[in-house]
Amino acid sequence: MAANISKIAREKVDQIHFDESWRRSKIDNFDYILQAEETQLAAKLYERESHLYFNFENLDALEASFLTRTRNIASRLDNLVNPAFEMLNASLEEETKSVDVICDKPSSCWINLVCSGTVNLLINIKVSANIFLKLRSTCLAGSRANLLLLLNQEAGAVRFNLESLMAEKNSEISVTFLAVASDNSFFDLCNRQQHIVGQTKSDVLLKLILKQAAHGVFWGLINVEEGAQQSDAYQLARAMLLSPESRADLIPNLNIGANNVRCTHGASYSTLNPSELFYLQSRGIEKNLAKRILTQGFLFDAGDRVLPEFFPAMEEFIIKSV
Amino acid sequence: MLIIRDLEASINEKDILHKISLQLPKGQITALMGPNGSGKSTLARIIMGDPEVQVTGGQLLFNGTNLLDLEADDRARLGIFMAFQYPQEVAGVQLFQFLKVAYEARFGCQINLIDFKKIVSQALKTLNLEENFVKRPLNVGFSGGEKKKCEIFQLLVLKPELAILDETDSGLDIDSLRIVAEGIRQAKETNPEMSILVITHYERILNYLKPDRIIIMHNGRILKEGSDLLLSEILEYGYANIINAGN
Ligand SMILES: Nc1ncnc2c1ncn2[C@@H]1O[C@H](COP(=O)(O)OP(=O)(O)OP(=O)(O)O)[C@@H](O)[C@H]1O
Ligand SMILES: [Mg+2]
Repeated sequence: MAANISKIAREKVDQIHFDESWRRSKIDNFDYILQAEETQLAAKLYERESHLYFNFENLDALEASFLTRTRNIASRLDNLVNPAFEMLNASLEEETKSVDVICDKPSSCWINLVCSGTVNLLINIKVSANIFLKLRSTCLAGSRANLLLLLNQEAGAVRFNLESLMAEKNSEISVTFLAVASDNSFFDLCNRQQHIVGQTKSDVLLKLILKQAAHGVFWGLINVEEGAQQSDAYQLARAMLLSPESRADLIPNLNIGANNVRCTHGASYSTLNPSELFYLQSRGIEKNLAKRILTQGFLFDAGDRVLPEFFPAMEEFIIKSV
Repeated sequence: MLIIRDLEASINEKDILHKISLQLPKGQITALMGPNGSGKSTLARIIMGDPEVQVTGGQLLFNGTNLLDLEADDRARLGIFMAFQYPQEVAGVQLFQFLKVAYEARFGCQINLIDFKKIVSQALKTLNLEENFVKRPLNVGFSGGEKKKCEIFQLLVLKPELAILDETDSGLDIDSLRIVAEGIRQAKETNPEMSILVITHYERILNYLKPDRIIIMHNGRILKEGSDLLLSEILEYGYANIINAGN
């Protein structure tokens, strides 16, 4: 059954997404086609069930570039490791909730998520090569999606296109993106919250830590289409710079085509706060440990957005990467 | 215990303290009073080791150790504790976990969760605080009074040798003040050698703590030292008399 769906889906997806426009867009153009039909087509494929599929493409070499493990559905995902354009369908049953992606060769990966009903998903990404990642969440009527993205980048350039497509009424998505970039790496997140219809709610938070000479970019757009009344959109990017060589450019944008909406966006840059550091030190905590606790706290602060079942994974990520 | 000699200090190139000399002996409670802006908090921050304040002259000795060479964390491990006038909010850092790390640093040993929970519960009970108080992020969203209580809660857990209480009484309601003062007294009872410096504007906390002496600061200088009588004079006439007499 799964294989069958996979085959159909692959044909459709090839047809829809892997056309020239997408190929071009993945280089540097964020304006890819966002059409309601496309979404509905994808939804139809799965008879309106929530699903997740991956497309992998290795730009430089055909050999394994991704190691993907989904807790609980490891066997199915292991098949993925091979050729380009390989794909997975994972229906989002209750146990299918978290995916680890390890990117250590130059490649690109498209992750497509269709949300119907409740979708809770954790994607844990470890990057050490140039990669292009794209995650599109298409939110159907009545859906409630809560996504936690964890990304640890030690080298290379990452371009991440994060797209929340509010395709049908009464849908909600909350995305919490925690990223840590170090050394000379370059992290570039393009966030797009596209409210095609109204009575929809999207909420995206990026918390980015930049160590050493890492450079982070956030470009975000809340786009409320004409007539999408009662859209509720929130976008916030916060960067913490841990060294004088690190750098961040945060650019949130709004484009609103309806008059009865609530849209908020913001960006902030910070470094370690000397008063907080003194407070911790005044209790006996050694300076370097105090700095580490504060840096971890910057990420832990997003904890109340995170589902309790993902908390241990988040904690492990924070402790390992900070 | 603590010897301050001819201490001079500035913040952002502005001179704040002038030739401060003061001793805080073992087991004594010293009250430090004085008008707003006279430099009380600055003195407290210097003793704790706040890098924002530059010491430009003088000496600071704690049981013979030169504190001026040490960072705040070294001083805390020697047993110096300051209850902040404005406790810092620290987002994303849970009070319980923070305090466990601090405890282990202070006493140079690992402590298992169960034992530490006992210590914490005891301190919470003393201050009439709920168990889940410690699950909250450090001072974030605490009311003014809760912040002050939290400082004394930390004091009870970290058991200092020298405790500086910078306006811990401000912002506490009548019942909370009694509870907090009781907590401080209890800490003193367990460790009679503890020296306490109480910075305050009000007599109420002093009625509870019964200081051995009272010191008045003004314009970055120590103006006068005295006993309870000095306190009644201040309460009756304000600082003007003392300041005029001093000049
Ligand atoms: N960061 C700073 N920059 C400039 N001046 C400062 C700074 N911090 C303190 N001061 C100044 O130092 C002086 C002493 O301040 P301090 O906080 O020590 O007073 P205080 O006696 O504790 O007052 P209060 O009773 O109001 O708490 C004040 O004039 C204050 O304005
Ligand atoms: Mg003060």
